[in-house]
Amino acid sequence: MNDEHKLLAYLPLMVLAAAALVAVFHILTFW
Amino acid sequence: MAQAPSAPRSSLLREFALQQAPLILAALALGFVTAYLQHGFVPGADRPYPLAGVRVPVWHVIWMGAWTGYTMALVGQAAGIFALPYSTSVLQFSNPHVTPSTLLLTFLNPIGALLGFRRTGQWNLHFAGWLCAGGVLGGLIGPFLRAGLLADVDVFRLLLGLALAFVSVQLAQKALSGFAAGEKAPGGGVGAPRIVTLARERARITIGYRGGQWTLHQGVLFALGATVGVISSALGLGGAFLIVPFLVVVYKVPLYVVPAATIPYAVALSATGLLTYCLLLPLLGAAPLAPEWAWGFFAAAGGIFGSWVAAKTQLHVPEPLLNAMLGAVLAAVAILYVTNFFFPLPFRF
Repeated sequence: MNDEHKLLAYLPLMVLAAAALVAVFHILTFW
Repeated sequence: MAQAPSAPRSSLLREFALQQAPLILAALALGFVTAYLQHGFVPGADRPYPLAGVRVPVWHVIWMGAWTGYTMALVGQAAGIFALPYSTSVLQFSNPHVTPSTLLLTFLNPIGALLGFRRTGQWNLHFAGWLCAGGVLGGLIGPFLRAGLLADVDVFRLLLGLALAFVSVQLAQKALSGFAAGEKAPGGGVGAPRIVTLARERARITIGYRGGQWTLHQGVLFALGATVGVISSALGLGGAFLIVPFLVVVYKVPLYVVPAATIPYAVALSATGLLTYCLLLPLLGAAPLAPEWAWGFFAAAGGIFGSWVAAKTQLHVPEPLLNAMLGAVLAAVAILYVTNFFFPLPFRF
């Protein structure tokens, strides 16, 4: 597995983490 | 889809520029145009969406479509399963208009995949036809359920919670069995095996793919499509979450063949549901439930991109782990919704 494929393997986790952060930002800003 | 990661980077870029970017740009443009036509301005962080009653920046709606489309496509589900609870709970868009708005997402999101499947021969209208016909019937009925019994937000969330629980069980089961669609998934490119019709006798159809064959009863497909269509169009989902387990458990159709039926089904069901919400409800004396068109188009623009990225990178993703994680998230949301119906929780969500 080369580095690019390793990055792709972790991409879903990074996307979910980003989604959680954006959700928290939205709740703090707009609720 | 499966062989794409080994394709040269330039061919991927060309594919994106020629096939995906026009769809994404069209969805974005339609988002702005429909915002002006429907409201006279573009809602966002400063001015709330009039029907939704919430302020959400445009980029956030696009992002919601992108991340839900990406993660759910990786595990073979539609974006709506995540986008609907995210819209109702995080973005606080929880009135009945959220359902047709999400239906616009479930209508547009699979179109890219549908075109791709058609190009590579991975679709079979004999397989999908009666299911879609049932979906059209369900899409005519479900919106009336939403405008009546499910108009109450808690009842709606209870049913949505049950749907999410059902999906989380599916994902958990896939995680435990170590399922990964991998190279067997349809749409593997030109020259890949096709899903063919082997026989059509009376109401039965036999389809074949990669040496396997499955006989299905078209009356059962129609009834399944109609039943699932009522529930899905009332909630704002594409329906695959119920169709897939039925076909897999009852007819033993492999998971990687089922999208040939569920993708056109989601498009047909969502289109009919949208028409019913906008036109049929007022024609029959009920109040129309218009979607936030701009919301749906912005989310779809992100969703098309997310689903495409998922299709191109799926081979490198630890699918069982992802099934477990997403199943756990959905289970947690489902528990919140169902619990809140019986024992109102002391916090807002």
